[in-house]
Amino acid sequence: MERSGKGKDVGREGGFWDRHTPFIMLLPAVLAVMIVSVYPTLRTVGMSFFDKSLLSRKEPFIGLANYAEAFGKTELWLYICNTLFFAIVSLILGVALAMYVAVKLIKPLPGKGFFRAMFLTPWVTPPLVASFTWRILFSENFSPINSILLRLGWIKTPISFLNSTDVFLGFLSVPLLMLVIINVWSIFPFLMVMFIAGLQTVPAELYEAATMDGAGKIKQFWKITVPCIRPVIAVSILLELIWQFNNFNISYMVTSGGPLGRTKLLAVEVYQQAFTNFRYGYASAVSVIMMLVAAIPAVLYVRSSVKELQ
Amino acid sequence: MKHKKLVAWGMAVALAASLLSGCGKSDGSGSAANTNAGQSADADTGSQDSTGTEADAGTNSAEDTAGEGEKPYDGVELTFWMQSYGSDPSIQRAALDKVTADFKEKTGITVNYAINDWSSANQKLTLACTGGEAPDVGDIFFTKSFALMSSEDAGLMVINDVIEDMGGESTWLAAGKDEACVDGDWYGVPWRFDTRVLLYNTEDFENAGITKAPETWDELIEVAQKLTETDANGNITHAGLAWNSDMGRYDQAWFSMLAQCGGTMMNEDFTEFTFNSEAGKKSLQFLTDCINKYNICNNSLDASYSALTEFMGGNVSMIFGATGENKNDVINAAPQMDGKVASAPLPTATGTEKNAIAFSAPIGIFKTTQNPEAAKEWVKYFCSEEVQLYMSQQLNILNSNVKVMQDSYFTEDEWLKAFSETAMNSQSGDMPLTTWSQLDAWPDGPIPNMCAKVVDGQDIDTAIAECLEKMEAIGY
Amino acid sequence: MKKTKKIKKVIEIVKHYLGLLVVSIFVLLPYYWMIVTAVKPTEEVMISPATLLPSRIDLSNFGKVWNFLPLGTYMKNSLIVSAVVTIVSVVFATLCGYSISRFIRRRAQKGALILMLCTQLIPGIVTMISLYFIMFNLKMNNTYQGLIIAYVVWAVPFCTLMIKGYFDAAIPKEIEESARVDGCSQFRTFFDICLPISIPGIISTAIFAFILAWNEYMWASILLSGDKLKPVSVGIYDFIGQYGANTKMALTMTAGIFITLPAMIIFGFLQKYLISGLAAGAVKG
Repeated sequence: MERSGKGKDVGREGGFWDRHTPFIMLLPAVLAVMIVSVYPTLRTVGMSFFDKSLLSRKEPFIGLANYAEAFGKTELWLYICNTLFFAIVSLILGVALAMYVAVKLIKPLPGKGFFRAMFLTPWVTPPLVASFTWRILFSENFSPINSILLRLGWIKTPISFLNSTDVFLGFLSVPLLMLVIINVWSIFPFLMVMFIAGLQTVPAELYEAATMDGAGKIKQFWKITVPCIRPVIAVSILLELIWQFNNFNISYMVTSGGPLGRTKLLAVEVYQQAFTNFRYGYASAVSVIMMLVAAIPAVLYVRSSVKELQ
Repeated sequence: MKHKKLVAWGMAVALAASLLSGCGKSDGSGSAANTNAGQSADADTGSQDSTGTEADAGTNSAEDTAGEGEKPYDGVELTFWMQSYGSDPSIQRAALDKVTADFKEKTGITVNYAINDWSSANQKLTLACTGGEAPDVGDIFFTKSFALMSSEDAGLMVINDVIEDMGGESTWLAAGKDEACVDGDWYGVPWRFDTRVLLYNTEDFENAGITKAPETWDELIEVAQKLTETDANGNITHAGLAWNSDMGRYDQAWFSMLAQCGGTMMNEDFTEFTFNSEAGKKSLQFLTDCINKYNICNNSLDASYSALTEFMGGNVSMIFGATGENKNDVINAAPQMDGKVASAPLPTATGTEKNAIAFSAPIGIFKTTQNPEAAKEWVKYFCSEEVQLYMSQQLNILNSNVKVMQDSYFTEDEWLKAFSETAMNSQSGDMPLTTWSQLDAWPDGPIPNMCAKVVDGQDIDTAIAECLEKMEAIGY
Repeated sequence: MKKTKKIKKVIEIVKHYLGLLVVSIFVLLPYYWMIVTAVKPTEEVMISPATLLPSRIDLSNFGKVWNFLPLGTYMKNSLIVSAVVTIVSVVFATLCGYSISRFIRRRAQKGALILMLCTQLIPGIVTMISLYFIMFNLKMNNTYQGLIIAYVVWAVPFCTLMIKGYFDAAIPKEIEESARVDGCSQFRTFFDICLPISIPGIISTAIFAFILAWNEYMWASILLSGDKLKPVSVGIYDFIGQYGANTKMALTMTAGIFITLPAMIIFGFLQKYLISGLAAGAVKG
């Protein structure tokens, strides 16, 4: 079973069970993932070549027709742009905010634990609760944000954050930006935790030495902090990027993709095609497209992880 | 070091335990507070299981008529799916607890009900009709869609015999038949009924010197203009009118407008869409003009916009297309509005056309049931006059049963009067098409999409053409 | 010289807390509004423009909300599901992660690692359509099992990678090797030697699994009907009416507080272990 004789793998003697323990230990997780994740995914990919719908009993094979239909729709390009923008911008802002906070919360100043615990809360708030609340915060007439701005005299009439259908660059609208803000709020705790954990492993002597050499804070950050925790940053960014490509909750729960599809993401389109229109074949095709869109960072992630091993 | 980790584990367990007990405690205090609140004191829904809850029989309700005779279905269990209704879910649970308990006493059949939320109702029923999980009996809508989706062994059962037993089609309003009967076969027994009215703030009317509710579109615009306030830039600070559209969903309001200028969605055989007409264009024009031309109504494409909450907040004086439960919704959430809420039939283009659309929804039986006879018993009992009157009162909904709607509860109540009047002068809102749920799917079905685009400033002819094209692609 | 240094330090500290304060406002804004809306007297909730603080504290919503939706049941469901998911996925992930970490040169282990990496990339929505029918055919819709199985599988890949990273970095192989020399079986070595010292890593993995299960919405809303088994993450959809309107703002916010608070308190206390577990190795992915 072993490929090379190099290295001292523990466990070659012993009986059958003992010898195969490592393999058996893999089984529960691997089988579960194969059955519940890989198999349905393959089925979905297969389904994308059929005209499968709950509403008709026939399921003819139609080749790439679902894909052709999807790419023929101008809306799909809007959703792809929305999704890319949403994922990338919320990631950039999320990483910046998380790093800013993490660097502060690594310092041995009082209140460290309190702030860490507080900043974790968005992560453990069910998305539905967060979305309902943010929707009120971004409403025109019941929002405390508007109340404050009015009271300060900064605005004369309340802003309706989620109303505008005007677009820039062909897709970007104000409501989409609002969703990005909500998303930053909900993803930065995870990144913060990862960064703090990473920062804890950076030896303090490095900073001391740098200070002796007269390096400034910013220089220290770029010359010491970032290189030291580069693996953590890379992994978190790639994972989070993939997760955000697949993000469903914020768009679905806050705006349902409205107004007029301006905030619709690919995952919501898949959901609506599958569970509102029951066009499984078409929904499958869109979800395969979605996987392909996410494939670039995904391949990078897998490659970097595998490379690190070898 | 090892100690520290043990402590960590211990803490986690202790926290989890204290959380569990904490829940238990607050649960108890919740129930206590409930009895104090009094409003729905008979509803002991603080406790988890729906069985064994005793509803007080203080309300006017269906009395037991059956004696101690034999119970042929003793021990049979049925599942019953229903959507949520009314402004307080605990009232619905209490009402169902009572009705199912009475039914069990009478027949020995245990009905286990499940209340599904609206956001997943369509999806659940579609799956139920196409081989997914199905109840024995369910609260249906889009009946024709579901009937056509049904196959040999799953989906809705034809129950013409139940309709006969209950007195034939004249038992219900015409809308009831439109919804439940497909090509002469009945797939359900009509129960709830739904139509739309104009809800208005009486205090705003008084302050503006308006004495009666508008009856024509011109009057509506005039009244709304009197009630609307704008700032120096022409932005509305208080809107005279609001389409009852949440999250930019205009289709329902537009259906009523179409009826109000004499238009129809489809021809009589439901083979073709007919809204690409003068009336269709006029109604869409009216929809957008009130927002973009007369400036009396907010553009509500905003996902956070809800006409009803705006009304509660005093930002809106009239809601076009309010439903039966809205009055209670308003008063419960904004008690300061108590006494200021009134209803009137919706105005029409010239005052002579139909006032609004109406919907009826049936109770259907699924083919997958193991006990069709028991299921029929339950449908007959649930849809009987007494039970329906009781349910209507508890849930603040209207009824498809003619006799129930003739009850003084509906005809003499100030708020409900407008509904019973409109019920007699309305046309069907949902089209009996297989794909209706897709055509009218919110937010991106062709029809809602067309309405939203028109409000957003798109040319009406183009919008209609696009809509028809998309509908063609989906098929009907 | 000394004085300016001191002043500099004070400015530093002020800047430090000022920055944290600004972030805190952003983070706490929704919670502030949840609490304010929940404790406002009913007639003040629907006022516009919104008042920033209640004129008096009215706690009646906190009692009322328990009648509006079976919050106790929802909490119980969430706790059961999340707890089981946490335990099962930690067991699976630990076994698998250990095996990958220690025997990465073998083909099966390498394959397992790539599988775990790749399944991270599958959007949840892609599997749900097929999964619904599989679960239905196995009569697992409307059961805890149906939820638990799916959540475990979604949690396992990430947990495996985390715990593998922990074993790689924090547990020296030498300890095990000496145990093997003493004649311990593979499993004994893992269970008696390796497991007890890897608890910090396991705790942080467990937290990830728990949060995933606690927050999941989409699958639960598809798989479950009725409210007997609903978890809290779906529960407050009960407030949405037939036409998508939610008129019960105050009660929704109150329910939100009840739903968020337990998790907030637990993880507030556990964050230390989460971070230390991660720091000791698990972050390397």
